[in-house]
Amino acid sequence: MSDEEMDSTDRVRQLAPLANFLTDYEYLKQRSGLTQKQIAERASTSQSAISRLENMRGLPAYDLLVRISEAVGGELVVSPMGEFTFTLPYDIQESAKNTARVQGLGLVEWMNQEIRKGLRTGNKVQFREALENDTRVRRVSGGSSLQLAGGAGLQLGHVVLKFKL
Amino acid sequence: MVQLQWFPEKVAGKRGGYVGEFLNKSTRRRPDLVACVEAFLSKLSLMDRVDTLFDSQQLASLGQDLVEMRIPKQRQGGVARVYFCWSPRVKNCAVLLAGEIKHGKAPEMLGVAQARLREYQAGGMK
Repeated sequence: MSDEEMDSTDRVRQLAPLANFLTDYEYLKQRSGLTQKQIAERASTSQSAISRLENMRGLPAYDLLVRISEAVGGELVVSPMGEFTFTLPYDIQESAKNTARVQGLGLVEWMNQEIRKGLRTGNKVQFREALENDTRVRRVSGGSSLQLAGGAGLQLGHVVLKFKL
Repeated sequence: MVQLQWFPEKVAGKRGGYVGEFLNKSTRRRPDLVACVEAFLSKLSLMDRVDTLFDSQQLASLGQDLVEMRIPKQRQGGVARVYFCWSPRVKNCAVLLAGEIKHGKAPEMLGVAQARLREYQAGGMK
């Protein structure tokens, strides 16, 4: 890769957060049916400022991003956490929000709860598979075995602990 | 979730094919639009149902199985267009056929996309 190509690739990477913002902005703008002029009025700015932002001309001011996010019915979130700051895909946003509401939770609380549930289940499955696939456990299965509650086993020296996951 | 098949690659996978080439070529001249295409594809690939993108006009059906990604719908300095079709064999698999940076009203790569769609269909849609 030439230096020039490297620079361009870096530029794409630098622009990624703004491109991500604009993709979401475009989605909200189209769904709300608002025009550039209406967004400008709601955000107390000029139409040309909106146009410059949409055309990725220059870097937008933070307060402009806050105001236009609100103008299209959203809310700006800025974080250095990269992939850990996850935006729910458009197709499940409404159903996720409704499900959370039915459970008496806010969306973020509900997502946190569901991810934790998923992690606990995932960890159990992984742990069980790892133990079941552990040939060492099978090799010593004729040795002494301490059964706690049935299910998977864990080798400690020549002792196999079995417990329910 | 939506898988991306970078035609003429035969299976869904990493960036490549004609649209990958288009993105690589456009990176130097229009890094802004390439970043927008990447952001859009990333969001699309996390979705199961894309009807919301048709509602928001970020996707538009062009007829004859061809669909257009509008990134964005309108912009003074030009827009990116990615043409694709849905795989009839693999559920939720978008077969990316062609891309372009469009400045005027008339698309330049639509004919090419249609030809590639025929090529894809003639090849058993693999």
